[in-house]
Amino acid sequence: MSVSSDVTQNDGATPLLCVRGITKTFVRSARLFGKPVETVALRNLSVDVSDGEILGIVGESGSGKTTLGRIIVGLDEPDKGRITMAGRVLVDCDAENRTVVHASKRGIGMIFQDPYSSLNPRMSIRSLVSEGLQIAGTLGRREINDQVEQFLTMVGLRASDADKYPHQFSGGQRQRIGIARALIMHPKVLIADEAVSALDVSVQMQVLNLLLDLRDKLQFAMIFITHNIGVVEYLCDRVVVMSQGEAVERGETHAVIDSPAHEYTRSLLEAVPRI
Amino acid sequence: MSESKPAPQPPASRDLVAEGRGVGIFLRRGADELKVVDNFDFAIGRGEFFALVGESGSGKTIIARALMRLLPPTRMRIAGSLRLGDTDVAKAEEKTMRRLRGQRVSMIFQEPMTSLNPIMTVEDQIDEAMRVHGTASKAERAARISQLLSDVLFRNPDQVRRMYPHELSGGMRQRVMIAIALANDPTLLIADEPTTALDVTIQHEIMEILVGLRNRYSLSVLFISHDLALVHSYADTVAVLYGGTLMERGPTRQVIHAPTHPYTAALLACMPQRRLPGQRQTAIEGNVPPVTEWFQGCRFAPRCPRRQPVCTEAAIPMVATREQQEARCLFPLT
Amino acid sequence: MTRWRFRDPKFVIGVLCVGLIVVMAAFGDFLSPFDAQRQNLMDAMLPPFDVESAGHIFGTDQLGRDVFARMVSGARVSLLIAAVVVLISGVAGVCIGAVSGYLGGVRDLFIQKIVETFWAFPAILLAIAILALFGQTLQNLILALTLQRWIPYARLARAQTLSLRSREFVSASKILGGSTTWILRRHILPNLVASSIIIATFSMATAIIAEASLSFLGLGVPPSIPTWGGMLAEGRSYVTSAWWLAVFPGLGIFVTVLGLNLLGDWLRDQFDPKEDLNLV
Repeated sequence: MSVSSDVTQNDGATPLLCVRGITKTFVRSARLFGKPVETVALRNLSVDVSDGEILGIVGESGSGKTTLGRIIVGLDEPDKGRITMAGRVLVDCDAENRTVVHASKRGIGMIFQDPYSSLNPRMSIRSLVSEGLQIAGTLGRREINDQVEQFLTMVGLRASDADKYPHQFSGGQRQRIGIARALIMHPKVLIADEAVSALDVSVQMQVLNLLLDLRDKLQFAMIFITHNIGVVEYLCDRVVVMSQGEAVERGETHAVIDSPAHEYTRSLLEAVPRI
Repeated sequence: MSESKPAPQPPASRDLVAEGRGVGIFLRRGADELKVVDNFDFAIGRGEFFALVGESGSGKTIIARALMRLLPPTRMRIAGSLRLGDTDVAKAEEKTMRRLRGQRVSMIFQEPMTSLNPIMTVEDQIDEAMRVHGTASKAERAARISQLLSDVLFRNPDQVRRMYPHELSGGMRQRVMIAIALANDPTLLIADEPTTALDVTIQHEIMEILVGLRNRYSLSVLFISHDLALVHSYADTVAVLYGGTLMERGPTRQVIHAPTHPYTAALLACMPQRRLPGQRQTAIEGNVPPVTEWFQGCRFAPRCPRRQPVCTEAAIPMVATREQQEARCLFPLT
Repeated sequence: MTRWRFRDPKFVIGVLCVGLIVVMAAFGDFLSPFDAQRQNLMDAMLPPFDVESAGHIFGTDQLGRDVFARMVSGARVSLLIAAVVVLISGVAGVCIGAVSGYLGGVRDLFIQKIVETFWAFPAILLAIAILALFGQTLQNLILALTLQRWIPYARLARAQTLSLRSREFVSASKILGGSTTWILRRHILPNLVASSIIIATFSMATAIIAEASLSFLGLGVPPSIPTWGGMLAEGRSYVTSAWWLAVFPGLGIFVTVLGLNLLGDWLRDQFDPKEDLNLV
C-alpha cells in the first residue's frame, strides 16, 4: 500500500539526500503596465533519496519536476528550502545566512534529455568526457586519459572512440557519452532528466539496462525524472508523483502503481496506454 | 522455415481511400538521390484507422508527406503506385494535388503551435480553410465552425472560436488543428505523431476525439507513431516499418499479441515493464541504421536474433503468416 | 555533416580570382623589373601591351612610373590594410558580442546601447571625420575603417550566443564546474567561428572598397604610397587619353571583390542547414 505524503523512510535508515521544503517561484514581467506574472513552480516540496536507490519523479508538464532536478543539482536556487547530503548542507535558504554550495562541489551529477544538444559538436569525446576532471585540475594528462578510457569502456563504447566527434555517434551512443561524463566525477547521486525520452524505443532499453548495471557497480543513487510510467516501473525502487509543484503521492513503485491513493495518480495511470 | 503462402490479393482499388503498391520514395538533392522508402504496400479503406509505426529513419513521416505530395518532384521521387482515391499521386499535376489537399486529404502535425497562425483567431483560421476550397456562404461557414468545434469536444465553442492560439493550452491547440483539418470534410486524415508532445492525459482525449470522428463520419485515419502501446487501443490495422521497409502488417491487436516478424516481437519485448529485482529485459543490440547506409536483403538482419546468412543475400518478399497478417521475413515467428 | 564541395564553380572561380591577386601581390616584384616609385618622364604615358613600351606590360602613367609595378604595390597595401582591419574588427566584434550575449541582463543592455550609438553614424562620414580630425596616417586609416566594422560580428555573435547558452552542453559544463571564462572559451567561441569566417570574407571585400573609396577621395594613405583607389583617382583625368591608368586598378578591385564574394557565398552554402536531409 502506498503512503500519501509521509516523507521519512519506513525502515528508519537515514537517507543519503534530504530535500526539504523547496519553494520556487518564477517571475515573468508580462505587460508594460500590468503586474508581473508569477508562476509557482515548486510548493514546499520534500523528498528523500537513500544510498544506492533509484527514485522516480513522475509528472506531466508544469509539474515542476524539471525545476526540482535543476535545483538539486545546482543549476538553480530555490526561494526557500534546505538540501543536505550525508549530513553536509548543500543548500540552506531558510537560515539567516543563505548557503548555496556550487553545483560542482555537491557530488551530484546530471544526464540530459537531448543527445544532440548535450554534447558540444566541436569537442572530441575525450575532451567532453574529461571536462570535469580538466576543470578540477587535480589529475595529470595521463591519468585523465586513463580515466576517460576506463569510463568509455564502462558505458559500452571503445577506448578508440575518445578521439572521435559527436556527429559520428548515434543518439543512444551519445547518451552513453553523457553518462560517462557524469560518472567520471564519481557522484553520489545521479539525476537523469528524461534521459531516454528522446531515444528510439529499441535503444531505450539498452540505456536503462546500462544505468542499472552501473548503479550496481558504482553504487550511486539516482533520481530519474520522467513522464513515462513504463520506465518508472522498470527502473525505479520508489516513486514520487508530482502535480503543479507539489508531491501528491509517494511510495514503493509497485505499490503506487497497483493501488494509487491519490486521485491524480489514478487519472494519470488510467490515461497511460497499455497492451 | 515456415511454409509461406504468397501474400493475399489486396481488395479492389475503387473502395479504397488510399493505396500503395510497391511504393519507393527517393529524396533528391541536386543530382544525388537517396532511397528512403522501399517497396511499401498498403491499403486504407473507408472508416479505417490505420497506424504506421516505426522508429527514426523508418520512413513513416516521409510516406505521409509523399501521400500529400508536400515536396515537389525536384526534391522527391515516388516510384510505384501511390493513390489517393483514384488519383495517382506520383503522376498528378500540382493543380490536382492542390485541390486534393485540405479537401480529400488533410493533415495534423506534432507541434500545433507552429502550425497555427498566431495572429488569427480560431474561427478565422477554420474559416480560411473553408474559403480556400468551398463556396459556402458566410452563415453556412459560421454554422460549420460551431459544428466542428463541438465535434472536437469543446464544451463552449462560442467562447473558443474567438480565442487566439497563445491563449490555448497544448491539447486545445491540437483540437483546433483537427477542426481546421476537417473543415472541408476530407475522407482521409493523416495524423503525424499528433500526441507525442502532449501530456498523457491530454493524449487520451485526442485519441478519443479521433475515434469519435471516425465513428461518426466514416473518416479514415492514417496515424503515424512510434508507440505501439498507443495504437494498440485505437487502430484497426498496423503497419510496422523499419529502415524504410515494411516489416509486418495486420490487424492491430493480432500483430501486437501475436507478432510474426522478429522486429515487431523484439520491439514489443523491449518496452519497459515491471520486472523482478535483479532481472533484466532483453534489449535489441545495435543501433537504428542511418538512412544513408546501404544494405542488402533484410534491414533488420544485423540486429536480429534469428538471422541467417541467407537473410542478407536478396530482397525479402512479404509472406502471409496468419489470417490477414503478413511479414517480410524468411524465418517468421509462428 | 557538411561535405566540402570543392567542385562548386563558386569555389573554383573565387579561389582563382583571389589567388591571382595574392600571387601578384606576393611575387609581383619578380615579374616586373621596374620600381613603382621611379619616375621617368621620358617614358611617360606609354600604352600597355605594346612592343614599343620598353617592357612596361601595363604601360606607364603620366610620370613615367610603371603601372604594373604600381598595381603590385597597390595590391599589397590594399590587401594588407583590409586584412588588418578585418582581423581587428572580427576578433573584437565576436568577443564583445559573445560576452554581451552570454552575460545578459544589464551588462548586455549597456553594451547594446554602445553598439547602437556606433551604428548610428554613416560609415564613410565617420571615417572622413576621424581622418580629418586626427590626421591622415596609416594607423588612423585603420582605426577609421575598424570603428564600425566590428558591429555585424558582434550582432551575429550575440544572437548565436543567446541560443547557445541555453544548450544542454553549457548546463553540463556549469555542473562540472565551468566558470564563465571557461564556458566562453571552450563552448561558445568555437561555435561562433564558422559564421564569423563567412562574415569576414564579405567584410574583406567591403574593406577593400572602403579603402579604395577613401584613397579616391584623397583621404586614404599618404599619396606617395600607391593604392588602387589612389591610382583610380589619378587615372580619372586621363580616361580618354590613357585608359589604362584607370582601368587596371579598377579591374584589380573588381577581381578581388568578386573572388571574395564568391568564396563567402560558397562558405555560406557549405554551412546552410537547409541542405541537410532531415525529413525522415
